[in-house]
Amino acid sequence: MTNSADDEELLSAYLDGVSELTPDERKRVETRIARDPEFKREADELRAVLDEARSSASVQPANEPDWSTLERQIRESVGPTVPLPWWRRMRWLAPISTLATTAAIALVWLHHAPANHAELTVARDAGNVAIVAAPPHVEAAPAAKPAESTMIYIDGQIIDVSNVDPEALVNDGASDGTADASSSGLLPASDYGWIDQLDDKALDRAERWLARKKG
Amino acid sequence: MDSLALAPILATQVTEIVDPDRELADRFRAGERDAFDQIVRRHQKGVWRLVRRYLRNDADSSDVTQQVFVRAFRGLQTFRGQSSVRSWLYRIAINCSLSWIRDHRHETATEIAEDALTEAHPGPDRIAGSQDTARLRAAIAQLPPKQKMVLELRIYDDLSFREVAELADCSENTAKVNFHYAVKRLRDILGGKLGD
Repeated sequence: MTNSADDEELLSAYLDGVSELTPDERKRVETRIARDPEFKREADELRAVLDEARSSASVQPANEPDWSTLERQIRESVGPTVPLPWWRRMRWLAPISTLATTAAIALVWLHHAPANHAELTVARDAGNVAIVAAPPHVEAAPAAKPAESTMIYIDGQIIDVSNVDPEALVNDGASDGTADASSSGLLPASDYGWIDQLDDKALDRAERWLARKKG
Repeated sequence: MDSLALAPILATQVTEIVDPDRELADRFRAGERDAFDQIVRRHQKGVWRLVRRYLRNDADSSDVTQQVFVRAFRGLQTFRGQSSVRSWLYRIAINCSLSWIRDHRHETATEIAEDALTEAHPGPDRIAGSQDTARLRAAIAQLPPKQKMVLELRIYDDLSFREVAELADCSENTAKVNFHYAVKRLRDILGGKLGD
């Protein structure tokens, strides 16, 4: 079957429901009926068949159900409540999921964020020195440090810089990458960016130390 | 006879531009339970008769009709209006009927689906003196499935060609063409016996 029907193929549709043809289709069929006696005869015959079919359809079975009873049965079957679509049934999930998400974010933040009293520390990785926040387990370190002290965190160890001999900062031997951090207590600093992270007190101490060194 | 005389006196279907049931469906989706009752009231006869043609059993037809509306009740929230509510209901009705026939194939005649129409609308015993109607129904039973389906939906269920096309899963033009060949074939089968 094609989608584009010719005039003849539209004849029955024209006879049974002229309004369902486009104006163009209707005009074509009517023109052909008017001009072609054979086509007109066919139209008459098909109309007789359609007449019979329609009259047959209009006679209903005598034993149809009682419609009000059937309607009541249907009403009882479906129940009194309009069912909600699944996305509306799950509305209770929205606040719970929001709370859960908020809680998860809070947990992640608490786990990774530096504590208020965390000190800036220096960590070394493959010879690089960087200022990092003290990891959470630093809080479990046994000895409380003085508030003024500056600590660095190197390879899992906490070192109070304020208690280290300043000479070690120069002669740490780490610039060639061979020094042992645990033995010297301090790290070489090929990257001096960490100095920018020191607070004013530490800088003052460093300047005083430098002045003494020069003097 | 001019062309106007051939205008279809049997044209009962006007192309539906607006689905009259759409508002009811919208109201139902908005939570108005009574809107569904109105849909039932409007379509239960049509659904029952359609189901009856497949099942050829009054009591079972009522059960399946009930089942159709239960499914519709549950599914109307997701109905997107791409077809009319009526053709959507009739689609459910056809599916439920075929499912019922499948489930009861051992209890019923195997040819039930093939000539379901012959016993419905109405049975021969219920139309006194209607020899033509009996012959017509027998002739319809001989039509190829697609033509038969289109003819039934059009004549017995009074659907628009657009709705017929939706249910027969074809284009509207194809539905019209199938309808034409079905009517022609009926004419050929009956061989001018109508009205004799």
